[in-house]
Amino acid sequence: MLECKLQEPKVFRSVVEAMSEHIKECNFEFTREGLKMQALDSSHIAFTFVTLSATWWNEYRCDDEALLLGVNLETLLKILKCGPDNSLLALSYENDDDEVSELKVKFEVDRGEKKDVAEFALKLTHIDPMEEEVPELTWTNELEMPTQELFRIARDISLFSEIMVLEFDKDKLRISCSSKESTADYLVHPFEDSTNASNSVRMNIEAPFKVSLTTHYVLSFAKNKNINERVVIKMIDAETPLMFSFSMKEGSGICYYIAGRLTDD
Amino acid sequence: MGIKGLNRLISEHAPNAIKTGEMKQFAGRKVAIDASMSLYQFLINVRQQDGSQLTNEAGETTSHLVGLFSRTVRMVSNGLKPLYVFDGKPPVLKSQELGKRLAKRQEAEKAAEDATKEGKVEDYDKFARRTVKVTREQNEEAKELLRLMGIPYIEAPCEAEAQCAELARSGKVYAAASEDMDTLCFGAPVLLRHLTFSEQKKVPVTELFLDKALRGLDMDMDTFVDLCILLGCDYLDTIPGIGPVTALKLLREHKNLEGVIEHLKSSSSKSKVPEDWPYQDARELFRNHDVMKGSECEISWKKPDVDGLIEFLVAKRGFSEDRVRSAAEKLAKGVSQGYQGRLDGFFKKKPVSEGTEKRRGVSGKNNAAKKQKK
Repeated sequence: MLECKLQEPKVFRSVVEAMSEHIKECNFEFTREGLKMQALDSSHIAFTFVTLSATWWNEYRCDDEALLLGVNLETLLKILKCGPDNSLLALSYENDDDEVSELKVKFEVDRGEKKDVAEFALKLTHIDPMEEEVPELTWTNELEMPTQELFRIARDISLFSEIMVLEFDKDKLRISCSSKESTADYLVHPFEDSTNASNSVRMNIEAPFKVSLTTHYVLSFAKNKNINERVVIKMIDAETPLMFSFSMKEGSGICYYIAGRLTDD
Repeated sequence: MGIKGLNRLISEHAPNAIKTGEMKQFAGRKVAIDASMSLYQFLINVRQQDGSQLTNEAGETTSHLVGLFSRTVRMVSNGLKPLYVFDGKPPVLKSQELGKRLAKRQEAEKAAEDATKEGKVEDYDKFARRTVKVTREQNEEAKELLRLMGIPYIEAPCEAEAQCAELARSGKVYAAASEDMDTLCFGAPVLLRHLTFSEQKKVPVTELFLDKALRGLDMDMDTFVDLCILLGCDYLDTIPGIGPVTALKLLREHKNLEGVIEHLKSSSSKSKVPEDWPYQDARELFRNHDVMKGSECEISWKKPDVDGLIEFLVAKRGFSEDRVRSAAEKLAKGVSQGYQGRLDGFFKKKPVSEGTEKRRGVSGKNNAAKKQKK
């Protein structure tokens, strides 16, 4: 039996919304430690990895060692959009041998003694589990900046070019693009905001390098300011995928691996 | 053409070996395309409303060039790196098949003529499509066009599918693209079908994985080649009375063609093996086809020669200049912007956990492995 509850359905909705930008359907892997979701987008350019630990939920119970539920994200998102922000979200699943197996999604709103309830059932599908996992990497470079700032730059760049070039240097990040008609160039420097730390930009670049990324991927990652107003980017070089991560409390969070563009053969 | 009934067998026994998707999901992939097969299809399918081929003012056919140009530009716009492979000399063994095709064409030509005389437009259309053959000039024109587009091509020593398969096998490209299923027999690890279809047709690209197909059919590569020969390939006649189901059953029971033939001879089966049935030769053709080694193939994508394209397509063949220019821009962009990297090589295989089969919400009902256990 599986049951997990959350006071803020909005956050879960944001997570699912972020995932559905790249993935149509995905296995939800429930263990005693929490919920894990991971999938590659159909182009195999970006990999989305989400952890929502047992303690991240207000209540969490999973009796199975591991439970794999294939979920259509578009449908789940539709359901989650029906939940009022002030409600309590409850996901549940009963294993029985019924032909149709469903994930139940329930929203409860306290009305004094009684509770108003909206309940949905999502039909599960079979999805082949991933046979691969992310290798352990020693990240040599790291950058941390306001998510909103990354979003603003990526959105601006997206007006001009499908491709953005990121040049990571010891004390600056240059983001640029060029098209037939114009070029755009952004310089971002490390900066400590003593009154509001969340505005700070921190860089720890040991091995400067340059990489080109497809703009719309970066733009979609940067939409996650509801998850965390700070984004951490970890990198090694242009050949190794970059990691964009948005952490949440209790060791939870959403992170992406994205492959850069390559130039020579 | 191809292998009779193989697609059906694979979709029945190894459904997970077949995946369909959009073209853009192959962004960053290099693919080797069977040019001869594609040109043939363009000549058949790229036509005017009345069923006649596209031509320039002088009445020369341009269907193959219109098809090649537009479909290639579409691939490049989607981030793919296409490489074309042309047929070389056909293997001797194929002469019988080729002879049959010629006879069919002549028959169709006559029928088309009759239809014209009798004024039956629909019939004419039907037969006219069957008369199609890619001429030497059309092949040369296609190569010239590719050169101007900056798209690489290779001339195979023998069959183009075999060369495509070799390029994929050697890792020079991700997949071989052909409609011909025998590309799998030549050992292409991944086969793409419908890649050169028109966008308007809205046919998804089909991806076929050899290893999954072999696993689903539960056989090794040698047996697979034997299966394909038994199903009916371009090199040999089929044995009368043996369809896909029987072919698979016979091979599973008798391991290889030698065993099958012996069984057919000794049993009272109605199926008689043709007297002249050099299956060893066909087998040899599939296993060791004359190809250029992948590592020896020089492939590079270059910027298009815009002036050359205008001269070749607009001045000589009446293409719209605006269309050619905007297409050339897309081609140039494809080269200058590099190509999208992919995460495929990034992951490592998960260690196989012992005995802890995970519980699933939904069991894989279409799972081939499960089917077999039943």
